[in-house]
Amino acid sequence: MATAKNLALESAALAKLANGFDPTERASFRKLGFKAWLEDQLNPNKKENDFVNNAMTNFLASNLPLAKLATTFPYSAKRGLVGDEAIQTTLLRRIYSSRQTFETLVEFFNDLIPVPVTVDTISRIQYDRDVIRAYALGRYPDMLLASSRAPGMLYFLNGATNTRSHPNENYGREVLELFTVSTKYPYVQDDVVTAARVLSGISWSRGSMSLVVNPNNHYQGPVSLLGWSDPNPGQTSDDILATSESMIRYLALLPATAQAFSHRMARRYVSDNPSEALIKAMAKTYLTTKGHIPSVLKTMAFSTEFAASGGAKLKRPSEYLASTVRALGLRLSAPIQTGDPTATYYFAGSPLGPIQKQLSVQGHEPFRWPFPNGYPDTEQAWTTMTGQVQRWNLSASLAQGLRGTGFSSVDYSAMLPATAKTPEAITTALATRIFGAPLAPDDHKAIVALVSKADVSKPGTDSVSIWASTATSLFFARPEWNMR
Amino acid sequence: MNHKNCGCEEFEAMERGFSRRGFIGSVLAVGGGLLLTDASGLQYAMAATGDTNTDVVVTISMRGGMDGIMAVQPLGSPRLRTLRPTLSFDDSSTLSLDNHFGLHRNLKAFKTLYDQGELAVVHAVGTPVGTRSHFDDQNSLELAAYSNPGLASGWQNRYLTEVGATDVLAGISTTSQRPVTLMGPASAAVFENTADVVIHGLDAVKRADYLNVLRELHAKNTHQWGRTAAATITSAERLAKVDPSTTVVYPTTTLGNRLKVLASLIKAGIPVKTANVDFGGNLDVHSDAGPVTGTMANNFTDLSESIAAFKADVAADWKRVTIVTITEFGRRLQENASAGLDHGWGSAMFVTGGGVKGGKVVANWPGLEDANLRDGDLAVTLDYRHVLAEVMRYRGGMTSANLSNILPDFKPMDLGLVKNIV
Repeated sequence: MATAKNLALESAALAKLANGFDPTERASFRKLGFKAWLEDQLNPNKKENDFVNNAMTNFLASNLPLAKLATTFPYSAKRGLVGDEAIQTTLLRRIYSSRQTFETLVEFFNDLIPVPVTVDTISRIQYDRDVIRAYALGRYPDMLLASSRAPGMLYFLNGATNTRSHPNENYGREVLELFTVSTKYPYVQDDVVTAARVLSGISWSRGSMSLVVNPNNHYQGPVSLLGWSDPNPGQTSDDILATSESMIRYLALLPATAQAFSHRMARRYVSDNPSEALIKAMAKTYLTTKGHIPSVLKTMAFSTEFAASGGAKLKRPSEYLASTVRALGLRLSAPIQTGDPTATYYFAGSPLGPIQKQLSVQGHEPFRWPFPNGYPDTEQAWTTMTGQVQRWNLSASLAQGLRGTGFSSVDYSAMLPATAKTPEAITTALATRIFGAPLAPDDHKAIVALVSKADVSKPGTDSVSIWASTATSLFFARPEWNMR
Repeated sequence: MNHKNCGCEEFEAMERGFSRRGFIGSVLAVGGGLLLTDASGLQYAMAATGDTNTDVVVTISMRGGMDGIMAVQPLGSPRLRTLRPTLSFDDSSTLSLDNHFGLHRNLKAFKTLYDQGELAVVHAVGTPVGTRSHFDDQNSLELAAYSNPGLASGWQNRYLTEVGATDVLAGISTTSQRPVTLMGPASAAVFENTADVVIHGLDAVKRADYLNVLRELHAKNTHQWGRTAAATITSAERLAKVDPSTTVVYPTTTLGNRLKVLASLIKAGIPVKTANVDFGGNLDVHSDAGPVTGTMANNFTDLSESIAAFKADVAADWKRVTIVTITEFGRRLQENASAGLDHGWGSAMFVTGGGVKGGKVVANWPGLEDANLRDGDLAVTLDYRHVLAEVMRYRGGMTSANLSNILPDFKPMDLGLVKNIV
């Protein structure tokens, strides 16, 4: 028997630990219960569904190892296509993956230690696959280490040109400020320089597509920062990699990092201002599990604060899009075609193009945020005129089945009982079917009033569909649907 | 960085010190360092509230850390040439302003404005704290409340309140996300293109009915999303009538497009009081700064030509526009091994518009010798808030009381940058 409390938890969990519910996911949640559902979501061996697996085989770059990527997609050409592929495969999985919690973690880490697609598209594909996705269900120190040596990050924050004679401080600063201890920790400029020195000489070769460690470019000699020190002989590449690994792992496991990491995660999933108590509890788990990401997530998810946090956060544009599409059970409007690397534009006609465009207009295309702090994550930042109008328009387009959204039309006849033949009955039946419960009385009344005014007089008009699409347009325009 | 030791007092002492030394007797310093909020006997009679006569105060946010030294190079400095072998110029390759400073040659359009007396440069200017963190410095720059970190609004939002703005389109940001400077209680519209904010409506119902229901559905919602929805609907309907076309050719850049949109609003009579326009180019040049044909060279062309196009586009309205460029920090004096520049502190600001007392460089120039630098960076000897305060004072009719609400615990100085609008 579903109590109000259970429904609140279900609604919070499916909106926050997934990109919204679809009928299958809700059934699974109810069958398993919250704990077992989340364990299943976090199971590294959880199977992806056939639709996503099949769709993914059509993408070319995502399935190639890095060295092969470079020869198949020479740097001089097709870079934009590879970038589109990185973005579109991300959107595909955000919307349709069975591993929804995993996909939310992938998004979280792509904001925590981001590499914009504009840096280098091939590296972006590799970064997503071999850094973010490889460790999102593992330990943050491992992910951070892999990130520090990934070509995408080496290019983005200039590690690739960081040398002993002139340390480039870009990565050294951000690894402290954004990726580990945060500015709440009283580090100083010398610490930034030290971090840069420790990593100096670690670069990337586009020729061999491999990490290049050059002792001639490495700052040699004792180094220390924030309580860590190392003789840093730096005579061999093994020395340099060992010292830098020691520093990265040390930083990644400092209490200040646990705190900063937990704050970012709680702000992502729970609310714009998570409590100190929750952050503290998550940080404790972080430290005892040595940065085990699913464990920290579970401490957060099984807290009373999480259970009560439904509706506390504004969905970002991509969450709004994914959750609306999932709630309506929409499919892509056309199959994804197999890519042809010899074609000028091998995604021509792909339904994912307009979906990508829609997020671009709202300023939330995956991997387009140009700075190393990731997309903003607060209601203030995303409450914009463009955001509101675009969501109203998208809701209307999807509900009315307009062309060009990239998605299939809603099949209202399959969603409605044959008995629902009036604006009132249709609104009630649809809301219950989609949201699992009728709307708030005021909203219901306002929507029915408008639905009743819909023009169904045109010859050949299917009044049920018109009423249904008018009601549905408004369901997803409601402010409550914009929150999670 | 450690915010407990933000060095604010130390900074203020230094700034006062420089004011005495620099302003008195320095050929570079202009203005006299008169404290705007001092009991100086100056009377500001202009009523601010609802005054339609105020300027459109536009900030161009040079997010990422604009190198002020490359933009406005101090001339006759062998030390600069030594520290920046590839990222500085022979004096003769710059556009000399006053024989002390030379503009980057791609800022040609700025030189024209400077010569016409409509552009002033402020140098060695910046934030009082200087953490070298993009995000902390940008945030505190937009909050502009250094002694009051709990203040939950940005300075442009407080300006809207103080200027008595009632129109929901009085505050504009041509960005995808609301910037901190416009966060707060006063409403401000955030959009990049007017085409993006056209409400399509529904096929089977009347537009007015649809919009009314949208309003109704949001009326009781207490989130910012719900609270701002009615204003969004009203604004969208008004913006739908704005003609976005122009005969002026803007650079095909992010900034060019954003200024074109802003110009269309001004020309259409939308009563914009203040606008935030993000530059959009890459200023964070840790590598390959591109001073001649690359990144920074293109940035300067973009910045100056976009503003020149904007001036031509708004035409007669230029007299009531004041544009200020603003950045979270400048770059390190010495270039790095990647022909780039790491994060620094002091930078330069440009102030331009029909009401600007231009044709001058205002600076308490700190010098480029080791002893003058702060951790290797150009020192900040002028707080950026002096520039904002003066613009708001003389072009926005702000009284001292208004200014102390917008820029709390700050004593602004008159730098002689703008004419009094009255």
